[in-house]
Formats: sequence, C-alpha cells, structure tokens
Amino acid sequence: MEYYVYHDFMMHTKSITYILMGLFVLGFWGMWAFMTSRDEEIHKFPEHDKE
Amino acid sequence: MGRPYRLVYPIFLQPGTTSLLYEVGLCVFLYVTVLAIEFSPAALEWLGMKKLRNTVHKLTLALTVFGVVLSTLHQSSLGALYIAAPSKMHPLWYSPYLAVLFFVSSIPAGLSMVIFEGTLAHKAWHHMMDKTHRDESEGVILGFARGASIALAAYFCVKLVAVAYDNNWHYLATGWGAWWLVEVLGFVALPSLLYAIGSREKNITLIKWTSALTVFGIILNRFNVSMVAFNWQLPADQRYFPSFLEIMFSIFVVTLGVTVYRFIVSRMPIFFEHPEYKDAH
Repeated sequence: MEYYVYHDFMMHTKSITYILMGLFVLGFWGMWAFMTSRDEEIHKFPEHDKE
Repeated sequence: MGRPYRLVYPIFLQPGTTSLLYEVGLCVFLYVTVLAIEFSPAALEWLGMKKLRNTVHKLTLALTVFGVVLSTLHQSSLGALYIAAPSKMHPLWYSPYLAVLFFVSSIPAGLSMVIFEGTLAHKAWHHMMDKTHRDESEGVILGFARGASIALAAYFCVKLVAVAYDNNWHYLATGWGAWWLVEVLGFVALPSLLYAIGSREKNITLIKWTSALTVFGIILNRFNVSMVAFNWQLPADQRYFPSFLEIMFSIFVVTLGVTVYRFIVSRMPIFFEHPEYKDAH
C-alpha cells in the first residue's frame, strides 16, 4: 500500500490496530470463559439459594 | 555499568538526572534497599532482636507499596534505554513503546519465576517447610498460573500492536521475522495457552514446566533486544558478544546468589514460622 501523506499511514495503521483491539477483547473473553469453565461455583449466600 | 561499587557516583556525586541509566541505577539502589528492609524481620527474628524486628514489621505495608512502585519504574526504564537507538535495532524489536513492552513482560516473568523457584525450593527444602507453607503452595501456584496466563496474553497483544502501529508486517516474511515468530508464538502465546490449560485442569506439573518455558522466553527476549536484534545491520564480527570473563562472572553471580539463598533458608525462618512469632505473620 502506498502512502502519500502521513495521515494515510496513520489511517492505515490505526485502523488495523483498532480491528486487532476488537479481536483481543473477544479473545480475552473466550480465554476467561475457557479458564474458569471448570471452577466450582462460589455460593456466597447459601441461605438465599434455598429459597 | 557492571561496577556496583561505583554506585555512589551516579546516586550522590554526579547524578545525571536526564539519563535513563540514572533512573535504572536509582531504582535498583532504592529497590535493593527496600527489599533488604522488607526481608530483615526474618533475619532479626533469627538474631533474637525483638524490639527492632517489631519496629521494622510495622513498616511492611508502606515498604510493599514502595517496592511495587520502584519495580514498575526500573523494569520499564530498562526497556526505555533502547528507545535511544531506533536506527540500531531491528524494527520488529524496536518500538517507541519498549518501556511498556518491558514492563508488561516483567509481570509474567515475575509470576513464573516465583513458581519456578518455588518448585526448586520444594525439591531441596521440603523438610524445612511447615504445614501452612506446604498446604498453601498449590493454591498459590494455581492463582499465579492464571495471572501469568492473562499477563502473557496481554503481552502478546501489545507485541502485535507494536508491529501494527509501525506497519512492520512485511518483516515477518524474512529470516528475522521467523525468529520473531519463534519468540512470540513459542515463548509468549504457547506458555499463555499452557498456563490456561494447567489452571483449568489444575495440572500442577504442566504449570511448573510452563513456568520454566516462560522464564526462558523472557530471557530470550532480553537477549534479542540487547544483542541479537541490536546492530543487526552490522557484520557478525563487528557486533557485541559477551567475553569469556563476562559469561564466567555472570555464572559466578548466579552461583553466589544460590549459595547465599542456601545459607539464609537453612538458618532463618523463611519456610516456617519462628516459634516465638507463631501466628504473627
């Protein structure tokens, strides 16, 4: 890709960076779901669960 | 550099406050002092100096906060040292955000080093550890593994953003790019995944091996930044490589550290509570 002015370059690199950021957010969500999927559920208010 | 006995010059006699190396020196000087005071209650318990031990013990919270701030500063300054040489470093390793990269990578390095060192300590000093220490170690390892997995994933993201921000993708198709991919995929992404699996499956053995892989990976990154990718355009014979004496001295320093560690843990209450200070920690 050719850049004629600095703005073109920034526009290109920033756009890719923002797309990457969106993918990272989804990735972190998936990673957290994977890591905690076998955790035992913590019952902070057991008396509430009986109702 | 490399002459700790001259530390008095940059700190007290000729402080070059505009130099990043000055900040590194100042942070290391203050951090080592804070660590020595933080550790001193154990030594003072061993020596039976109750009054002084109780006084120092009251400072623990303030010293911990100070220690965290100082380590944040010195890890990032080590990376910032290389910001001064953009033309000498390969673009895949150079970034104006090197300080951020060094700081973020130091988090999984620290967590992994604790797991790695703890594993060795358990092998050699298991008989010295009290029940609390032994019972709590597994929980600590699992918690640290989860933290290290997330920190490594964050570091992986920052590494990719550094490439995207300077539009250096085309370098990935070169030999240097292959080496960068080995570092980032093999020693950042892979350990992050292995830690996540280990933490999910509660697989302590996998976590311990992953900690060694992570520590090796961070050391590899520091070598890449300071030697492999530094002056990358020069012929091999004109580039820096540590001399035999420098390598031997580094081995000597590590050996000295292990010897001092052995001296301390075999005498002072590190893995167990001192009988006179039961439940005081």
